[in-house]
Amino acid sequence: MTSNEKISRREFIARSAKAGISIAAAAGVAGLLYETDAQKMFSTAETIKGLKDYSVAPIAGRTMSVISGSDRSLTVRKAIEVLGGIDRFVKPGETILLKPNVGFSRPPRICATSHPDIISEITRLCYEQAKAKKVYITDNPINDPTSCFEISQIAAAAQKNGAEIIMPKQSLFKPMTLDNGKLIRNWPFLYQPLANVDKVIGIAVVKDHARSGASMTMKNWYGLLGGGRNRFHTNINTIITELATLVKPTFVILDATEIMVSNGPTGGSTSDLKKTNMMLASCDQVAADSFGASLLDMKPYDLQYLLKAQELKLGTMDYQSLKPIYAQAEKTI
Amino acid sequence: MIMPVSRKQTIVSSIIIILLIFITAVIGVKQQYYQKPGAEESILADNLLGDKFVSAGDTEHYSPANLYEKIDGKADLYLNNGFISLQSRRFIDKSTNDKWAEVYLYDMANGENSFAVYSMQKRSESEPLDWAQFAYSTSDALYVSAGQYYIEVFLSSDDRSLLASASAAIKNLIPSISSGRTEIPFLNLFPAENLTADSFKFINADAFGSSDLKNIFAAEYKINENNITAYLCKNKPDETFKNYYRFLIENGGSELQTNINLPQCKAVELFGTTDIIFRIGDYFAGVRGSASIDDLKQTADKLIESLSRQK
Repeated sequence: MTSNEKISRREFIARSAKAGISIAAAAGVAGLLYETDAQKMFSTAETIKGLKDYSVAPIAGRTMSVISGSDRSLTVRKAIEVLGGIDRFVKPGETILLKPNVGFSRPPRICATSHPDIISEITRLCYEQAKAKKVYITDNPINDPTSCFEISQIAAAAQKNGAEIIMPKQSLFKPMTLDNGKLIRNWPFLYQPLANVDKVIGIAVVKDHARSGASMTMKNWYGLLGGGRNRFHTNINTIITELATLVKPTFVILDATEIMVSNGPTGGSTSDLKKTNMMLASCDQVAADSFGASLLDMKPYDLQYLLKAQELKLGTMDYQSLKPIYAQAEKTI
Repeated sequence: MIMPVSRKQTIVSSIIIILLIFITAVIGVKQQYYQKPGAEESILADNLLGDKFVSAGDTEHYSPANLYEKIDGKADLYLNNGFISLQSRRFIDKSTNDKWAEVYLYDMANGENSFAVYSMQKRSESEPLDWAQFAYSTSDALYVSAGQYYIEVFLSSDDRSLLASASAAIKNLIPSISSGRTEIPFLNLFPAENLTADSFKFINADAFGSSDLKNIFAAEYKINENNITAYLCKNKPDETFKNYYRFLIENGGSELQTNINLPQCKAVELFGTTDIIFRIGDYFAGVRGSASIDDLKQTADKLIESLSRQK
């Protein structure tokens, strides 16, 4: 068609209408087939680079405690008390985020998730002793979140003690990039619950894990990842190390009252458990996990992510060098 | 007025149409990757656990692509052993919400794969169930390998009546999904004499602490009150024999004499456990334990006799 050729008004309207219908149809089909992969929902401009440091000033000889006993409320209370008490870690008016392992819709007695008694006791300590302003709880479970929080009884523990559960809604995820990270690069991360709190407390349980060997406090941060995170399973040691680099918690709790010695991380039967009647509180997550490894009849160096974490000076595998405080909370049954 | 269409316009239009068809095809293929909820038929019926129970929702379906969403790190165990699909459903007691059973039905493609995942996860504190070939219960769960299916039922508590309901439900389900007895040829190679019932085991990696022993079938024997493990595999028998022998010696094992008349046979004692290993026909096999060498040899002789019949 040359520039001299003209079209009629009717032809122009007809062509415009066809073009409009084509565009609308294409947009409609695109909408139907829209890729909902969370990673692609963010523009790189929104990317968060790291988290703030939630840790407190170290006190020599008060980095890690190991308390014997079978009553989790008593042992966790004692574990925090001997490190200086909850008010060493939480100041009046502060907001606290508890990050338990709520990965599966399993009841507490299976020990695949953090125990509700620990959630209750720490929440109570934060409010009653430390005069915290608000306690939040969050996790991005493997299974349906509502069912996980309910069946693990963490929802009930939160409600009873005035903590608020933050469900992992899509809008709370932001793309996260870890400096020098290989895997955490522009990856969906449950950022919003951490963004506005003053302190973060990790609460994990000692579990056998088919991929990583063991799931404890460092692996617990995996629950902050979104997107198709299963792709990290082939690099499980790297992702655990990167998460531990990213999250510098106020302290961590490692529940070793009953540990999952086989068929982890899901378990399913109490026959997968062994009673070891211990509770750890630690400002050093590498040290806590190194101690936990020994309960699973492993050496710390059997777990590659502990070796990597120590190399990166995230903590020490030589937990004895921290002079842990050993104490008894009650008479062991 | 009809405008003439230039050749250039025709070519450009054709390219655009071909491009759109190509994009549609790619999207179509990609969409096949995703599981469509409810698109599969459920084997776990609403009334699976009987009239006293109600299902907590529809059956959940998982494929190899999203199995991790249900069982996370444990998915590898299934994916490495022929996993096809998982159906799971929770059933709640109508009289109390606190009492429930959750059924997991794994389609493992064949009986051998199903047995593999069954035996690899077998709990030590368990009671065999006599109504299925491979089945046991713990105080709060039951586990069954039936044909190509591996079934787990997790209970809300240690409750005998709940366990009985779940047990009856699975017993009724099995005839509709498998054709009775599963033939696992490897298990027939183990001699029956002195065999401990229900002791068959499949070990896919790192058997007896050695990375050289993979995909091993094992069974327990009791002779003169001593436990002896017999094991065998068909995977690279020559190489496996040499590598495992080297592993035993390099870790401080000392060789013992036996009068077993096979060209490739060794006996090695390491930290109080003696292995008699041999290669026969297409198989690498052995026996191990802390029993006397005579008792071990007796078990080895029976195993050799059985394997010789297969040559």
